[in-house]
Amino acid sequence: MEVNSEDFSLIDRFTQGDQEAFAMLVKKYQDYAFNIAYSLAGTHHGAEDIAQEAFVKVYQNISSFERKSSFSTWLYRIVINSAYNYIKRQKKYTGLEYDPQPLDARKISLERLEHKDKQDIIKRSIEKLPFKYRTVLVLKDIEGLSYFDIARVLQCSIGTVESRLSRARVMLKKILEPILRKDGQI
Amino acid sequence: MRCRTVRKFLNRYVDHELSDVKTSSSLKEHLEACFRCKTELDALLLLKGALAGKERAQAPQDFLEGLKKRLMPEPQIIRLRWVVDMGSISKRLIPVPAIVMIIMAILLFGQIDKEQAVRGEALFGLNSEELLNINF
Repeated sequence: MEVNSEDFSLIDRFTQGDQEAFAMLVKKYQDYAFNIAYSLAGTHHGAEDIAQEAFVKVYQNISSFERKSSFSTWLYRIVINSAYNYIKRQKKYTGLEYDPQPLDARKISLERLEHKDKQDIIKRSIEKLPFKYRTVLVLKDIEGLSYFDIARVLQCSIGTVESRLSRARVMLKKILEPILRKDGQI
Repeated sequence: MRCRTVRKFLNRYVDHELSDVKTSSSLKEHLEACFRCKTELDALLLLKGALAGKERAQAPQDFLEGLKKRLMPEPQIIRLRWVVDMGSISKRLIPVPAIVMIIMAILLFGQIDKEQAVRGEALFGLNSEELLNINF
């Protein structure tokens, strides 16, 4: 993620009291924030709550943004933290925990499924992963960030990103294995 | 290159994060010859493709309006909160005047009883105890 001077100029305007500049920042990044939140939380309602909470934090803490990284890196970090807090709150109410059980292949076949159902299976499989593995997988395979950028967002080393990603893919493969094996794809 | 080393670099390879050209070319060579490592690579590519093909969710049309509401709570809500706060304070204070009124009532009735007894003494020349013992 390259440092975007347009973002910095919007931030400058916003810190000088221009509310429209903040609205422009939100419009520019709302879909990115929403998509990450949706991939992590799994529901539209949850994604909206997470993304809005993230922008509220941006609004309140813009003065603490040191510009050592790009605005998007900072925003992604805030979205992920908000998603973590949201999921923790949900777990408290629903008692849902990490579920490594593979999907039931007797009921599902990827080849016969409609596009919408395929999307649903992928979404459900991601939701089965523990949060730290889910995060790297979403940032890499859905958002298409580089190892370097993921490391900056998560404030960890590239080695940690690599090992988490490898572990996440092994877990995801295990979850999807019965279906992929049945379809003869692995 | 051995299978173990290939597996170690496989994630980097599918993610185009392998910058070393020499390692990359020996890995390719190995993958062409080794069926098991090739199967592993195919599974990784399949997973990666499935995730990359996942539809991107978009923020709702009224996202910014919702955010603005969240950032600037309406004054009515603040006023309502104030009313609620006052309500809870008044609830707490209700017993105080009630107790004061009960005490005043007791004192007042006590005073009336005394006055009536004094009036009785004056009328019949009897004291209050004698007045109470009169059998009509």
